Amino acid sequence: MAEAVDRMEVLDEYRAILSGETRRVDVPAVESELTQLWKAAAEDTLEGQPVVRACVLNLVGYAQGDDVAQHINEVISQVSARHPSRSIIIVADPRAKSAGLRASISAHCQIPLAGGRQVCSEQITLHASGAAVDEVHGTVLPLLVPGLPVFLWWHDEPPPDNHLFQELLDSCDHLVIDSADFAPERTAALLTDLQRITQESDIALSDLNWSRLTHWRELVAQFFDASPGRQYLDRLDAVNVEIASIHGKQPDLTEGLLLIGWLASRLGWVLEEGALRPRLDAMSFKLKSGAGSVTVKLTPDPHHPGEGLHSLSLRAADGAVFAISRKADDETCGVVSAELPEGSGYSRVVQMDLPSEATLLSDELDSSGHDAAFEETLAQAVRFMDGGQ
Amino acid sequence: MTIEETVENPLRVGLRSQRTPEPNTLIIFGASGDLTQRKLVPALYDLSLEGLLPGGFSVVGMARRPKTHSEFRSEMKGAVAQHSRTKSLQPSAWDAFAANIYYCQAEFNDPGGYIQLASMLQKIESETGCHNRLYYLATPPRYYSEIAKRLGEAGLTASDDGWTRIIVEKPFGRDLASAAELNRTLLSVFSEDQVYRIDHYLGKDTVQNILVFRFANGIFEPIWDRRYIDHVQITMAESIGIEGRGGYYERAGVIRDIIQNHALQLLSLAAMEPPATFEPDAVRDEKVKVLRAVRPIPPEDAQESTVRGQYGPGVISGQRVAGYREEDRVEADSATETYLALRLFIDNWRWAGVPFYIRSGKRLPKRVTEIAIIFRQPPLALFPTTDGSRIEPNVLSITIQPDEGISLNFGSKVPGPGAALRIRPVEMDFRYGTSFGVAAPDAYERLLLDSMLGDATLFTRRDEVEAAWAFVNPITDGWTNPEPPSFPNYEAGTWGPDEADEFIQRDGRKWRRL
Repeated sequence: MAEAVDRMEVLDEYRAILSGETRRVDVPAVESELTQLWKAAAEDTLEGQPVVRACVLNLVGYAQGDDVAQHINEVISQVSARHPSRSIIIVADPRAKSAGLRASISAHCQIPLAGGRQVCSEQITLHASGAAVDEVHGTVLPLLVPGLPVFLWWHDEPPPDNHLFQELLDSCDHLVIDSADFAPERTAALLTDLQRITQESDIALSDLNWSRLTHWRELVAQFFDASPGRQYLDRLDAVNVEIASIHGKQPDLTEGLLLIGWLASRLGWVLEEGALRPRLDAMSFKLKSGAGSVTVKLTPDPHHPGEGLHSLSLRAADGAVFAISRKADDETCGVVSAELPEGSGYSRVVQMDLPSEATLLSDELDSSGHDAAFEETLAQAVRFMDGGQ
Repeated sequence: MTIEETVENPLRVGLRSQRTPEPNTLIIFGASGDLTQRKLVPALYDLSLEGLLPGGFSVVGMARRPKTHSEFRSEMKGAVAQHSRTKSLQPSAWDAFAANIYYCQAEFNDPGGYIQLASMLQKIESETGCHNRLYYLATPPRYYSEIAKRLGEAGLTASDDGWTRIIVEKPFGRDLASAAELNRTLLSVFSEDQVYRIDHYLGKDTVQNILVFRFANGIFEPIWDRRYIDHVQITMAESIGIEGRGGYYERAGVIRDIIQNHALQLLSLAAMEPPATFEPDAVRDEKVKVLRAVRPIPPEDAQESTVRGQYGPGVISGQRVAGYREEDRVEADSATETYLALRLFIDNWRWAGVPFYIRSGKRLPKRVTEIAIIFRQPPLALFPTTDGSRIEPNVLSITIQPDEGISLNFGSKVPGPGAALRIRPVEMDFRYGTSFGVAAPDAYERLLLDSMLGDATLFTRRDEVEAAWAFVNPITDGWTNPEPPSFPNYEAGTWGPDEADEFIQRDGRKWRRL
């Protein structure tokens, strides 16, 4: 009888974890506690079919402070539907005077389809403070599920010389950052460092800011997939990019520079030495193309408050204009139009939702290796940021 | 333009989709029909919303009922609001999409209608500057030949400065002779590379994944043959009845509705040799080779090699349902089969002697489509079981719907001491819904886009469709004499007639419990 009561209590405890509660555990006991959790879950058929644990990758997240950790937790919860993983969140407080490390486990479960089984993935949260922050990799590494790719999501400006960053980097396949979070004056230096790190190792680099451009890139590529647009691709001579901006706040040009860097790298446009004086608020410069030169303008648009790219127009010498612009009255949609000198052209409305961070991360978790297009783009964008040096 | 002729776009490097179609006009014959409203226009709207359709894309709906452009757009708006995958209609996106939808009222056999269509297309194309046309035959099959001929007479089957293609819905013929006749008619006005015979099953991600599973993984192909495989079971079970399609189903039966197309497509994907490339004809060549290697079931063996069934009243999910003969537009003494089990052999090096069992039926206990590969037993029974039975064979099952996934059953020791090892089958399970938590695009979206891109990989070629009919025809011929079985012979909500169980048990095997 007593045994049955004990078992019920254990089951209740694990059901609470699967319902979203967090359970504090001893650091050395993390793995065994997770084993117990899934064993109990597999035997628990109270709600119909037992839940199943799924894991297709390791996702290590780094956050400074509880607010960021909470945000990371929410994003991972959304991502886990598409990428069930073992996620390990490091919540660091390096400025704390005393060193400490504590662990907790939790689970992200999806609502099952009718008749289907509930699928859950696991999360380990490690709170490290003081000197323990520098050593937390020693706890993380044995917790990685073997044989599965490791993604390190550094939710902050990555410090290339930081010990923990270096140690974690050594064990990961993929580093995920978001250059939109970088201070504009440090972006070029940070991206240069990251570029060097990935060039010197097998680690693939993902920038969520690049992922934000995927839909834009797709729409731009469509202009030139077939005739009649295809013939103008080699004759482009002007690029105008407008960034949505908030009055009084310095606009972030990085996303726009990545877009221009992408065009330049794919179309063989090169920056001439001394042709560009980098600025943080707006930029205008010329690139050399096979057919002549391309005038580039990157400007904030105070009429469209918000974030991210607002519009892009590409002009060819013959007068052809290809444009993409977010709709002013419905920011979930954009207008894509082409005006061609032969009189034909079109305009259409497409969905252009601003992707959530979870969507962006999810897209990056889909990648299996180096993204050559991004690496070449980054090389160009960094050149624009530091004036072609 | 074929895939090989595609001009490379440097901006496509690193992007998932390799290109968008050229601007074109889709002309839907049968625009007032169910398929147009439930599937085609919602799929086009969803593609448009995702930015996957080209600028300069237009739709012309052609049907017999008089209607204005505006009335047709309004009808389609309702259809999209109800059936679009993206659910809530976005007003500005709809307005932009609808602005390029037109309606052409005409009888399908009226040459004047085609002149009117030509003039409408000319007007649209003068604005877009593109002359690419895609016809979609979404009418009842009896109009297919008529429409093709009229398009030919009106000079609408080719243009000098663009491509012209035609999509033909299933059923493609009702026997080998009618399919061959339809092919002849189509190919008298179109060339084979213009004809896209659609089988929406092939547009499903999980069906395409059969090829990925087999040919992108090194561990399965070496054991994918007669040396390791005992037999294969293909199940296509539906819990629904005929859904008001009594008129059609009475003429078709499950053999024409499912076996001739969907089931034989699954068979060919599961049994084909690796293609040299993933080009349309390379893949289809291998599929056709499988169909040609299927040992014919001559009419005199049709009774013995198949089991037919027809459902009577019964209970499914707690609901009483009527028997087939009580359905609308079904004869009270109908001899149409709603269930079929058959066994076939593929006479080639890989599959010699391996039986393939196929079963499909309406009003079975659940909806499930599955290919199960049942492996041979180990050569030596090393571990005696307590009751003397053999250990269960390994089974690799590929579930196409509804819970798409792949699972592998194998024997494992039951924990505990004892001299005799206890071995129990356990399942290693992979579910798509678990690993890829995104909704797969509708099969029609994929197939419409492929046809605009000129990619015929997932469409059935002439020789393929005729090879499938060549297998099915002798079976249906053999059923005409003697008398059909005594119908109904299975209760709705059960796994088919008892004879189907006895049929497979005669070979010392059993149907998988699903």
